[in-house]
Amino acid sequence: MNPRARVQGLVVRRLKDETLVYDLKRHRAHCLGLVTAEVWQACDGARTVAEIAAAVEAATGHVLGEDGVGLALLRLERARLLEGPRLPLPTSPARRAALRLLAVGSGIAVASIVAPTPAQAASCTPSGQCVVMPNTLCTGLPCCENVALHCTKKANGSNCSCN
Amino acid sequence: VLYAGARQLLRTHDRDEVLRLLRSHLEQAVAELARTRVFVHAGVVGWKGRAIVLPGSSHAGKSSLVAALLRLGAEYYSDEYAVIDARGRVHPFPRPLLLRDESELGRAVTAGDLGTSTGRRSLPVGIVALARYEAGAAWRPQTLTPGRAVLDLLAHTVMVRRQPEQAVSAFEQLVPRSLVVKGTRGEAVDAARWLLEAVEERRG
Repeated sequence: MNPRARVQGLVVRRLKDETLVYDLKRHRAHCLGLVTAEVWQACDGARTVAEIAAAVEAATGHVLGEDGVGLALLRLERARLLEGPRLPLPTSPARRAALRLLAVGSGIAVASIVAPTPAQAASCTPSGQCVVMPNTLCTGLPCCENVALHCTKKANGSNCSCN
Repeated sequence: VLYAGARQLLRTHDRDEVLRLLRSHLEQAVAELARTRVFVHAGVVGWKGRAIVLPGSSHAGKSSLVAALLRLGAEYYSDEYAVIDARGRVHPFPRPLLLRDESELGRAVTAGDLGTSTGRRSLPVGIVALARYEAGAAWRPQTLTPGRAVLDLLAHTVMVRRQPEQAVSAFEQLVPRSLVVKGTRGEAVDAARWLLEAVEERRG
């Protein structure tokens, strides 16, 4: 079965030579380099790996070969940007090492982040810091270790605590 | 007594304590539910008509860097959220700075306390700097590509899970007109001087 790019549930934007993809289902964002993005776009379910390599070369001038396309497909699959059955992973250590070496020189890259929850994208007070604050200076911010608690005044105490 | 829905948050006779916690909750709610602005967890100052935006996780050293920039004369915009509109401009969100230095733990200061003023107008962004504090580190930031810049901004955006398209659109406006750098910094004042000079150089 030939690789097919996933199209559902994604926000996709082209930014110069890169492509930004936001996965609405998994709340992950990915930045694809030029070559990887071209491989992804060429994955129409009809092209073979060899045909994808030829399409990428025609579009970008990069000679990837089937190994390079295979590596890009593994990266895209890891980011859950392909549909269909999983690709077979290279089994021998020598083969994996060769692919890693190829990745360094070819610009085949997918950078990813997990989108933060609102609590993760806000200031918090570590509980260790909260409990040494005098109770006139309690921050009122969520406590970093448990954002359901806030650094507030402890009843009858001279210091703050996570309550 | 302060409630959030059915959950009791605080029971106290101290009015200031209640107001502090209420403000913290309201700020988070506004950041999460805003429809026309994108809230990024970041410090912000204004310098020569441009905003310097400092996204970062809690305790990455944002407030110290904001304070150092203010001491060098920058205008205060925020030490919690960069409020970004659809054109990629930044609006003020000036709550008191919460300093976390050992000697000043938990002390809230205003821009006036640091000898400067608070910005009132929205500004175009000059520089976005993802600067993480590491003792003894030298500030030698690397410039991010547009895609990596948007990715790093999304990593600090409050409502990204609810409105990712809106966030990406705002950053598409902001990033091409700005310098976006990332690195570790030591002393805040060194990075602050670098940032102010970089804004001036970009303005030509």
